[in-house]
Amino acid sequence: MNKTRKLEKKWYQYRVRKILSFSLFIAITYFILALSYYFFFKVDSFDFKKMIGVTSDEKLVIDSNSSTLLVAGRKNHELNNTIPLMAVTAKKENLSLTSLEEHILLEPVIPIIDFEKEKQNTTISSSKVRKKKTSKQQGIVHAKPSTYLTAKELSHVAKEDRDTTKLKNIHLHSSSRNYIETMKKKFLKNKSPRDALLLAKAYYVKGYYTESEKWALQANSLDSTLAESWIFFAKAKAKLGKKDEAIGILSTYYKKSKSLKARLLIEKIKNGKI
Amino acid sequence: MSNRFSTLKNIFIDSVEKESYVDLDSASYSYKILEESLKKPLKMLLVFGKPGTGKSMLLNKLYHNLKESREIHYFEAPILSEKEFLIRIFEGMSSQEIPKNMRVNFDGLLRFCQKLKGKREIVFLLDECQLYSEALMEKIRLLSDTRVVKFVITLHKTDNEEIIAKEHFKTRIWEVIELSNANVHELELYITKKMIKRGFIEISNMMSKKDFKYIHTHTDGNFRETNKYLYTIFDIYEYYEEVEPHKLSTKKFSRKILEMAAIRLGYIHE
Repeated sequence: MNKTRKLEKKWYQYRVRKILSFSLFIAITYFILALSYYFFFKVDSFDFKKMIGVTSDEKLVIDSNSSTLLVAGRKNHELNNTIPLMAVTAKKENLSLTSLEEHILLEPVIPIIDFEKEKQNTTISSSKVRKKKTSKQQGIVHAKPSTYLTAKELSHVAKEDRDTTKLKNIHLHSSSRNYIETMKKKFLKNKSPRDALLLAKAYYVKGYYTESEKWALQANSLDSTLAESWIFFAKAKAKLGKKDEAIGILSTYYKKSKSLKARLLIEKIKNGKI
Repeated sequence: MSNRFSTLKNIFIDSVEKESYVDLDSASYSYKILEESLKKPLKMLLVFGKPGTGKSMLLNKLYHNLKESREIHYFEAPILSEKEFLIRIFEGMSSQEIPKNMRVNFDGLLRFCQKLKGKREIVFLLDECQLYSEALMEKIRLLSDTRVVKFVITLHKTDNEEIIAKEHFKTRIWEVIELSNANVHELELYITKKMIKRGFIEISNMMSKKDFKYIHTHTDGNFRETNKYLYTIFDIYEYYEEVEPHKLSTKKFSRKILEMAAIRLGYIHE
């Protein structure tokens, strides 16, 4: 009798163990499947439009008044209803990213020190033709474009009468090279990653991608959390035809930061937009 | 403690009695071949298979079916002493009892066999032949050469024993019958036939295909293992019927008891 009771006890233990191992098996299987799904589908088929519920035929438009993202041909409230809260956040991020990128690409690189000279230049520009003539006639030495005046030139200018009419003959204009030189000096002095990044941006805009890559790397080595150092490094790489490397860099950064900016840039590079 | 399960469990006690024999298609086919082969002038017949596949049962059935119609002798247990073996052979052939202090001379036995050539044909059924010594096997071979004595021997199927069988009898064995474990369907038939034969129709109906499959998983269709397993199952049933009958269903066979029996026999571990 006791023998059967003991056996029953053993059977209960066996059942518990069986149920536990079955549950564990299910949990592990589910985990593996979810992980595989994430790696094989989610990462490779990321689609921002799909995420916010916009079909491929519809276009996204930025409404500058309300700072919101609208779907062309749809009423605003329709989109708002369809975009989940997370997607709205992503949308905003995307908006700021796009405008930031445009800003960076369109911004003329004018150094601060040149603004005053620009003012003078503006005054001078009204009598541009006359000024040219005068300079030719009087043999005034022009400041070399894209550089500061050399000591010799400065001394020459200093010798000139401080007459305003004569001053009008001096043609000063801003140049990105000035900016780059200034920034380089600034960087050498401060060793600031932001300065290195600005240099990378400047070179990128000018089309010197090798230099841009170099400075982006410099910025990144000083501060790896600087998001744009990754972005410009990858962009420069992509421009240099190293698209695979660029995607690799961005993927690494995306895995680390989940940055939408990086994600979108990957898409752009893949689609050949960069 | 005595209830219907006490009787039921006892029908699964492993035995080679004629009553225990259950006619299955594969077993019937093997039996038919064996019976047909005995009619032919063959020196030896070999029945082999893993332990528990029904070799002894087959020999037992053959003996009981043929003992009235022809000279047949069945050695259930192997006779390991050569002296005793020759005495039993001679006694079987001559129907004379040998005094205790006497022994049978093998050459004399061979001459006796030669005298009977063409007059008589005596069949000896030898079970568990893997236990016989090589010398004794050699004598069995010489006796079979006289064509007066015919042997049906059983061997366990293992690599070594197969070699022994080949070495000793390869030129003399004309018919080999191999027995194997039952499949799920055959096992189901075996269990249900056994239960119905003894009037346990209700309990046999409680068992589902799943239950038979579960039994087969643990016993691999081996009849001896199946008997042992079912004996244990009904032993546990007997306890619950007596002590806690409310735990037993009258409609379904208890999976819990199936598993408990499997734990007891070490098929599964708690």
